[in-house]
Amino acid sequence: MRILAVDDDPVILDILGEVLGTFGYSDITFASSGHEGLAILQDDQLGFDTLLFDIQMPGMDGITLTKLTRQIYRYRDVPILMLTVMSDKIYIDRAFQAGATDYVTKPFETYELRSRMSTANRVAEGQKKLNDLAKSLRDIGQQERHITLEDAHSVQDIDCMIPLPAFHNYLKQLGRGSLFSSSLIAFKIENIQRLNDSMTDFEYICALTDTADAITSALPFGQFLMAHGGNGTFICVAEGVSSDLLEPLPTDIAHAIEEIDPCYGDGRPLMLSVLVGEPIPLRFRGRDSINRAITDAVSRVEREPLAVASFGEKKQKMPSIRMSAAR
Amino acid sequence: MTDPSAILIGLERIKLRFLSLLDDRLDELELQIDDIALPHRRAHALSRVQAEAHKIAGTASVVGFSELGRIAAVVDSSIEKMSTSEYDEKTIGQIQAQVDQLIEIGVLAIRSQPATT
Repeated sequence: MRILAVDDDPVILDILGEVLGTFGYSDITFASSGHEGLAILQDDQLGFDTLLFDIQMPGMDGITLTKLTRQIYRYRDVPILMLTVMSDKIYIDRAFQAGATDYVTKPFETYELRSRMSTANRVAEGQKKLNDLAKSLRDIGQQERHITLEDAHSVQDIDCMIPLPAFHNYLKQLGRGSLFSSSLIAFKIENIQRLNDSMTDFEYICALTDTADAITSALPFGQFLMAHGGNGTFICVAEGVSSDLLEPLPTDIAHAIEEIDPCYGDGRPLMLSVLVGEPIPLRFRGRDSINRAITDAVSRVEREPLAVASFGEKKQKMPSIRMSAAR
Repeated sequence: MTDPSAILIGLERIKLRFLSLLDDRLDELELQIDDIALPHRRAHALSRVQAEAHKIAGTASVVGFSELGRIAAVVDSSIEKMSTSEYDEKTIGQIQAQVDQLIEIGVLAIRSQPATT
């Protein structure tokens, strides 16, 4: 496995070399600044399998480096672990928004670092397979189906959308205080099974992307992150959720989808609705509280949605949202 | 299975480099600590102090200096949270006291190591 570690502190680079070497990771390249790290990524022919970035560096910081790295096609899915002293929520938010896979707070425990690297790589492998599949779908036969409804296929190129594993890592990273001011809200494409049966894989990915685009552009919260959790369900974590802000949300989502004007690949309009779930305040209640909160949010949007995003001729319940053609 | 002692041996070597750099960092902190009290030099001095404290906080406990890492993190965090409107004498005095403590514990860390030839 090839690793690139970027940190302006030579002691950290020494520690990483020593610790990772002991764990069997011997192919490590070091860079002492964001600019140097980026140049290595751009020039390297073999490609790296894991990237470790410090956040606070003079010149180009680790967050900017992460954003620029994600723009390099080869590194869209490669795990980026942020190694940083910065434990304030604002830094955690910015890191995950920029495309970080995980966040390790310095000073780190050596065995924790190994565990996080193993997990990040396992997850990245799965993500890469799904994304490679999505890419190939543009070229292969339209009727072949490879993506199952349950796949938590990540939605690309939409601000504030992150892969599901990174979403879990983000929630784990938030401290008790930050969790108390945050809530989970789930959204679900209604009748997703029936719709999915009527689509090609490529159309399904377009539908997920359009729906995510509509939801994120309608969300009124200052700070939020969202992931696709599979089954056409989206999970959002946001700060400052209130009933005043939630009330116009279904209408705003419907308007956003109307603007996107989606349809099938052959131009037929596609009818779909977006269910909006009841917000679930996040609380620390034991070790598995975050997973339970996610399960609760998803189950509530499926069983008793708060509202249905609708627009067009059938405004009451079922909207006439059409899905866009190829992008 | 990784041998934990192998990591410890490696970290012992890195500790010497950390201490060598710590000496330079404490020099920088001593240079800046008085400037924190001078309004026209305060912003620059705080920025320098925070940068040094940040680095110490990130590595000290990994090489066995937990208390040094803790107080460095306190200095880093105090400066990070302070906005320009909080440049009052009391806050400045508190930060200077924290930096003093950081220098003191840093000197103890350096002295705790046997001299190498």
